[in-house]
Parts: sequence; structure tokens; C-alpha cells
Amino acid sequence: MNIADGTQVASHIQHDKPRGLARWLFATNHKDIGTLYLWFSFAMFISGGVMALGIRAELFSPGLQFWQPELFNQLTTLHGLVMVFGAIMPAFTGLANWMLPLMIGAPDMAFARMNNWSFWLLPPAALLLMISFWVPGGAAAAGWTLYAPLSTQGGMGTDLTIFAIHILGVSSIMGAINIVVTVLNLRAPGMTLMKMPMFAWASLITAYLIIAVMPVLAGVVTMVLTDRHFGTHFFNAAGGGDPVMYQHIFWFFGHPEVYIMALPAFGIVSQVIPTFARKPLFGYTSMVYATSSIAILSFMVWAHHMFTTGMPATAQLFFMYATMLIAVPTGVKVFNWVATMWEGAMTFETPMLFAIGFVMLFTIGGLSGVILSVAAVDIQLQDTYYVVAHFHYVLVAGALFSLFSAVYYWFPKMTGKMYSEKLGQLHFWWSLVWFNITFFPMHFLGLAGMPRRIPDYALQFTDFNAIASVGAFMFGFGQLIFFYNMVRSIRHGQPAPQKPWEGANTLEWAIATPAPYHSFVVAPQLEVGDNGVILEMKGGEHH
Amino acid sequence: MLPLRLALIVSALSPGVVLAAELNLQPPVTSVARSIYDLHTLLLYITVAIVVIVFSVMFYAIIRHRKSAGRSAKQFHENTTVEIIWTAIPLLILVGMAWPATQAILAQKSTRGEDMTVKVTGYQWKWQYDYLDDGVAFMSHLTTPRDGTLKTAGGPYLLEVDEPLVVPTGKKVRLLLTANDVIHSWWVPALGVKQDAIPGYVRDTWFKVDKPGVYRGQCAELCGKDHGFMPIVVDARSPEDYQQWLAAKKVAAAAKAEDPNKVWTLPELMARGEKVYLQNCVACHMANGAGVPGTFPALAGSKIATTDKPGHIDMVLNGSKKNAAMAAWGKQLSDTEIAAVISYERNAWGNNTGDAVQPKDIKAARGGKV
Amino acid sequence: MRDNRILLKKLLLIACLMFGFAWALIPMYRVICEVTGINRVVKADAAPAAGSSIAPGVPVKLVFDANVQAGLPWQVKPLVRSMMARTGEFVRVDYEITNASNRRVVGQAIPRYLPAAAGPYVHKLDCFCFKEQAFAPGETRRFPVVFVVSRELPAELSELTLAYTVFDVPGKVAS
Repeated sequence: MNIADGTQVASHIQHDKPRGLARWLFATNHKDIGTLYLWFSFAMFISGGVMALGIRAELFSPGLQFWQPELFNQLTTLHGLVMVFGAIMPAFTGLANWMLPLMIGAPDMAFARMNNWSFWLLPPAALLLMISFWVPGGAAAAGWTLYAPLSTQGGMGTDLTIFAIHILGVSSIMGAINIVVTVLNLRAPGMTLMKMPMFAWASLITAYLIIAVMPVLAGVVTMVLTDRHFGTHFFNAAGGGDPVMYQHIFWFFGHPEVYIMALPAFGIVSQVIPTFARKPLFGYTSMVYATSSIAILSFMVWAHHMFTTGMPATAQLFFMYATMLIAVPTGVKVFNWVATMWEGAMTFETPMLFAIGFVMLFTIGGLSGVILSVAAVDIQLQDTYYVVAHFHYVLVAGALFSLFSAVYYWFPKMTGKMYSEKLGQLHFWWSLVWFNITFFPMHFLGLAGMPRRIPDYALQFTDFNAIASVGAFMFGFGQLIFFYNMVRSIRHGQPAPQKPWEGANTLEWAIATPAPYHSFVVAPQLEVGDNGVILEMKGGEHH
Repeated sequence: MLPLRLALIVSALSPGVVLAAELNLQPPVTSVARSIYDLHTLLLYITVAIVVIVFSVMFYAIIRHRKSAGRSAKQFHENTTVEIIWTAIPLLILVGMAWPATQAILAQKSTRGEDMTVKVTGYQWKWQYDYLDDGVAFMSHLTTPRDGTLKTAGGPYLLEVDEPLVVPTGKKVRLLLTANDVIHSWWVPALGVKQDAIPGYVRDTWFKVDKPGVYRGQCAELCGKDHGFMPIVVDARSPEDYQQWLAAKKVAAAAKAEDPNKVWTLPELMARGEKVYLQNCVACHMANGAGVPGTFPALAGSKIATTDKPGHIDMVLNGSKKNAAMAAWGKQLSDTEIAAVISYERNAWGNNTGDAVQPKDIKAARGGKV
Repeated sequence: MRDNRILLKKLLLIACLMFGFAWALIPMYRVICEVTGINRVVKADAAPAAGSSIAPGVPVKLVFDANVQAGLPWQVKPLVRSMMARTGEFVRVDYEITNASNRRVVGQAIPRYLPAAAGPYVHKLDCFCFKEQAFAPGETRRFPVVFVVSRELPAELSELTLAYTVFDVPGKVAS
């Protein structure tokens, strides 16, 4: 209760929006911080995307055209790190910042000042990553997984990367603590846990995952750091260490990390599909349980990333069975979304298009994951383009499409303007087509035997690489449509009504558009149905 | 420039071979690879069936249950029976998949009863093969020229080596894998073998090739700069041909122990040294001796390669104490090869010291022992 | 104000104690390692009671190998590549090590087993891996390795490979 009282007092004192730079630098308002997060992650998405295009340009045809192999390795490494820690994770934290308090009737995030700090740690970390390209020896080049002992060889860029990961980790943990406390303590009366929106559930579970595994990552990169500079031998067999231990620790972080990037996407899609199907989410309770069991199972499958390290057969079998098991709750989610569409009255505005695109492509990515989970087959596919195709189906078509869906869905609530539906639809179809042209052929490349992370390749891989490169550039350019649409609509968009979507019925749509700067200063009395559907709202006060 | 490059690509594509087998796993030539191939085909059918079923239901809903088709939404949102069914069915499908998968894994892991053992050591960026039973050992390097012209040394681009791993068909070959510096991964798709080689640790795997042929693969674990340039070539021959090859190899190994007291002329040393340099040193110190600033030191004009001759010999022979990337080449190269490469380094790229280092100098530096 | 000052003092005291504790850990670790022998990389096993008096056990195929890590200019090889033995009997295999450089080098060997699960069943009685080995320039020495494969060895492990990996001992190169 103390927390809520404190926030209320603070917001009563500070009625006006601060102006200028100070508004952003000293931001404590969840909406401002959410906005910062979203723009930051967009900037990182563009930087990581430029690196991806650098990679694809080099791979357009055989031979070394643009980059030397060491720079190519730096590009693949930084592309992965920037996209995972700079683009996707902050984007979800940003959305949670913006929308969670509105969806559960909280006045703000629980720890408003820590919230400021958790955002403002991100730009210096990003800066460390970016300047590492220009230090002697260049950026980290050991892949985003930073496998030791390769990562103990690199130059100063590796140290900068390790520090950046430390900072990003601190930021994520603070953001996650904020989400957990907000969801558990600041829900408005009537908004019970088993009634709150799936997005809140997904954010809550994700936040727990972050708190559980980010320290593991920080620990393992610190071990690399001390191996590099302080004479320890954690991963050096000569001193009694074990290089494979790095992989065990890293993937104990790394596999839950996959779900850190996927669960919020599930949450978003579980809000968007019911809205545009004009129908309640099918199987809300089973969705909550499926999400939780995915989170728990994600701690038990890490070694499926390591089938080629030469584990004993029993270990391979255990991790294979556990991994296959994840397909069950994931399948339940897909079936629930399809059942939500069934017998609905669907319309296909941009958010819905991206959500359907998500369900389709995520299903494909999930099923290629099932194939990879079979250890015997994984021996053939590990570290090939098949894996690259698989995780881009899950992360681009999964996480990124859900983020687009979310941004279009809540854009009117955030800005008070409507985005251009025509451009939005163009953005979707463009992304869908070129995404598949980029990444589908990679399945074939992997099957045919092309390893990942190589700057030049044998001639039989030429055709599909050329196709993928063309697709990647077109996909990349398509994101400018999104950027243009956002900027133009923020400035000149049509004013949005309070509830632009006919089927929208969660709490954020029950208040004015754009959302007042201080919303739910006094908590409302709510009567809530499954998935955060507001049946009745009394009271509530905004400034 | 671009039209030229495109022309090159088109010409490279024209042979039909290039387009063959681009869509699926490579044709298997071992029982393990065949089980992987069949398992993958089975999984592919199952997953495609799932995709077809789920997507047809979804698209049916998208087409029929839309507002513009005049529908109004039904408000159902729960059906326990349906939910139990669609939890149970995937579970059963997975159990069905797990059974053949388990069989395949147990077969992959069964390294016992081998006919011969080869030790594979991954180096940055080449492979060493040690025929443990026969005492034959050699390094296998990429032979494709690295000047970006897409020319080859007579084999497939980037998949050709000077010394392939020659094995007999129909014999169970056990591989012991380790690495010298970082983790590598020995992968030949047609054999169905991919096994990480881990520095300081030993792993094993096996294969038994059915039919003679040349099978190509690559290092599969990112191992630094030239990760993409350390291919693997397995040349499977009939047991008789293999025995012939082995005998010839043993003779060649004996001949390789050249007379260490022969005095070489500088041009001879330079010619031999350049060959050794291009096989072993060029990856880090670069063809022009300039190294990679910040990572690998330059040799052209460097102090060690122009003045400090004993220091130079010591460095090549015993490796660098400060930088683990500079290996001790004394273990890998003969006295003659080391003498030649040092002479080359001391006279190439404007390092015109005129020094001709002789094999006997190296022998002396080794302390009189090999 | 006074409260704050007291709190500050307490916090400073705690910080000093924490620092002191961390400092004291260095000798403490040293003592603990000496007493428990944690820091000795490979330890000798006790000879199994009544090794060869009872009937010989099941046959085991043994394969020997050795690897030398980068930076250590040694050649290490077993004089026998493989042999058949029985569980419960003493096995002796000789390894030959040559220091192929012109300086004194100290190395440490660590045994690795394939399959790894077989490790606990191999009881080593004599091994050059029990301590660091110093070699003069150009020196060659032979070492016997004596061990017993336990009778409890599961049948599926009846083919095992013993491969030493020999490392440079950092900081002990000169002298």
C-alpha cells in the first residue's frame, strides 16, 4: 500500500508535464519512459538491421566482396547482440511500461525513479557496443553466444561487449522487478490475477524469467572477463577449466532468454486476436497455465543447443524429450488462438494482420524447432542455416511481428492519432512477403550443408543466398514505410476516438484517448471478466 | 566490376551439378546419415501435415468468419473436452516421433568395435589427422586461392584440401577429436557426423562409409577469422586402394625426413619457405606480411624478422609466451620447413636481411633432439 | 541527523569488515586447499584390496592416446596404442615424453576417459599425472602408468580410451 500512496502523492504534486530535455532525462512517468524505450529499441532495430544488411550484402554472391572475414564475424556477433538486447527486449519492456499500468488500473509503475534509471542505462550500453567497432582489434567476433575459449582470444572489443552486457543486464533486471511489483501490487480493485489481461500475465512471467537468468549471463561473461585478464581458468582446460561449462552456463540463460523474447509476443497476440475477432479469448485459463509451463520447461532444455558437444546418450535423450514436451503447451496456445478466430466476426486491420502473420509464421518456426529438438537430426542441422532460418521465424516473425501488431494496436491510445491504415497494410504485406523470401530458402541452405557464420561459401549455395539477400534488403527497406507512417501519423494523423477498435474491451480503452499523462491517480472499482475484459468500471481519476 | 562478377556467377552456375541436391539433406552414405535422412523425412511429413490441418482451419475461419461476410461473433470461450483432446494428440504424436529418434541416437553414440582409429585435431584454421594404428599423420589445409577471384585449385570452391582424410569403405572408423586452440566442429553431411572438437578434452564419434567417393564438409563451430575456410574432405576408397595409399604414405613419410645436414641456397629456401608460409602463417600474418593491426602483429619490417635471428627461430619453434595465438610450430613442422619459412620471412616484403637459415640451425636450436 | 551519522558509521564498519573478510580469504583458501588436497589436480587411488588373488574379471579393451596443448613444446606418446586387459588386474602402460624445445618446461597431464562415465572405474596407482613434470631442454623420459579397472565396470563400458592431455603449467616455464 505504501508504494501506491507514495506514487499518488508524487503525482498530485507534479501535475504538469515537464518540458524540454528534462522531461525525458528525468522522466519518471511510465508513459514517457515507455516512449523512450520504444524509440530506443527502434533505433537499435535499425542499427542491427544495417548490420544484417551488411552480412547479406557480403553473402549475395560467393567470394569476398565487402568485408574481410574478421569484420564479417564482428557484424554477425553485434547483429545478434544488438537485436536481442537492444531491440527486442527493450521493446517489450517499453510496451509493458506504457500499457501495463493502463491495463490493470495502476497509477504508474511501482518504482518510478528506478524505471528512469533502468532506461537510461541502455544508451551507454548501446554506445559501448557501437564504439567497439572502432577500437583496436574491432568488435567482439565470437558470435552473440561469445563461446569461450574463442571469446577469451578477442581484442578490447570483447571487453566492451562484456561491460555492455553487464549494463544491459542490470537494466533488464530493474525493469523486470518493476513489472513484477507493479502487476502484483498495483492492480485496481476487482482486477484479480486470474482475470487480468494475458499481456499482463505474459509480462509477469517474462519478468520472472529475466530475474532468474540475467544474473547467470552476467556471471558467465564475468568469468570470461576474468579468464581474459585476471588469470582465472574457468574455461581453459590447461588450468583445470572446461570450455563446455561455458556453454552449459550460457544456455541456462540462453534458453529462457528465447522465451523472454517469445512470451510477451504471446501476450500481445492474445489481446489483439480477441479484439478483432470480437470474441473472448478461447481457453484463458489454459493459456495462463500453458505460458507458465513453457516458462518452467524452458529451464530444463538448455543442453539441446549443445547436442554436438558429445554428451552421453542419456543426456541427449533427456534434453530431447524435455524439448519436445515444450511443443505441447505451445501447440495449445496456437490452437487457442485459432479457436478464438473460429466463429468470430473478424476484421483485418493492421494489428490483426500482424497477429495472424505471427500465428502462421511462429507455427512454422515452432515446427522447425520440433524437428531440431530431435537430437539425431539436430546433429546434421546444428550450426547451419537451418537453425538461422528457425530462430528468425521465431524472433522476426514471432517477436518482431507481434511488436508491430502491438504498436499499431495501441498507437491511437499512445498518441491520440490514427496511423495510416493503408500504409500499415502495405507494411504488413511487404514484410510478410519479403520475410519469407529472405528466410525460407535458408532452410534449404541448412539442409544442403551450409554452415552459419561463414563470410564466403561453396558455389552450390549461390542461388538461395542471392534470393535471401534480395529479400533481406527489400524487407529492410519496408521498415521505412513503418517509420514514415509513425512519424507522419504522430504529426498529422486523424484524431483517434477513445475506442478505435470495435471489439476492444480491456481497461486501457475505457479511458480517454490519448491516455492522460497521469492516469488512474485514484484507482477505479472494476468488475472484470477473463483476459481483462472490463464489465463495469466505477470511479478512477486522471490528470 | 559488378557485371564481371555477375558473369562469373552465371558461369559458375552453369554446370548442372551446382543446382543438384540444393533442397534437401545430402545423399547419405553411412547408416547413421541414412537414419538421419529418413527421420528428417518422417518429421517433415508430420509437421507439414500439422501445418496443413491447422492452417486450413485458420484460413477457413479467416474466409468465412469475417465481419464483412455478415457474421456476428459467437461468444463461446471454453470447451474442456476439446482442450484435453488437443493437448493429448500432440503428446501422442511426440511419443511417436521420440521412438525412432531414440533408436537413431543410440546408433550414433555406439562407437565400439572399431576397425581403425583416426585422431582429428582442430587448429585455427586447419585439421590434423593422425592414423593412430599406422603412425601416419598429416595436416589438411584449404587449397582454394584466397584472392577473391572464385578460382579453385582444381576442386570445388572452398571445399578442396591438399590432403584429404583417406579411409577404407566398409570399415568402422572411430574418430577421436580434440582441438589445439578453440572449439571446432568436424562435420561431413554425407557421413552424418558432426562432433565438436574441444581443446583439452577428447570426444569420439564414428562412421562406416558404404561406397567409395569423395565427401566434403566444413568446420561447423565458429572458431575465429577463417572459420569458413577450413573444409573437411573425406576420400573413401576400397580397402585395397586404401592399403596402397597407406603404404605410399608411409614411404613418403620416411622420405620426408630429409637430410638435415644439407646446405640450402637462399632462393631454394625462399621458394620452399613461401609454400610453408602460405599453408601455415598467411591466415594471421597475411600474404603481405602486414598482419592484422591490433590482433596479429606484422612481420614486414618488424624487429624480430629483421634483426633478432635467434629470437625469431625461438618464436617459430616454441611459440609466443605472450600471445597464445602464436603456436609452437616445432611440433608441426620439420627442421627444413622451419628453416625455410624463417628464411622466407627474413627476406620477403622488403625484409632483405640476406639471412639463409639452415635446417641444422634449427636442429641446434631444438637442443639436438627432434 | 544523529541517526544518520550513526547509520553511516555502521555502514562504514560493515564495508571495512567485508573488505577485510575478502582479504582474509586468500590465506584461508590456501590453508583449506592444503588440508583437503583440493588443488591437486589428479590424485592417486588406493589399490583395490586383493587385486589379483581372485579369478580374473571380464575382458576390457583399452586404447591409449595423448594430446599436447598449444604452447607446450612436448611430444607425448604411449608406447602401446591398445591392449586387452581384464577387470581387477594390474595394467601397466608406458608413456614417452620428449621436451622438443631448448628450454626447461613444466607440464601437467590430465587424464581424460572415453566414454567419460568410465573414469571412476579406472583406479590409477602410478601416473606421471600425479604431479607436475619438469623437463630439461631436449630431455626424453619414460613413465609407467599403472592402474586397475574396477570389477564394477558396467558391461556397456567395456571398451575404454585413456587419453592424456598435457598442459603447460603457467608461470613455471622459466627457472
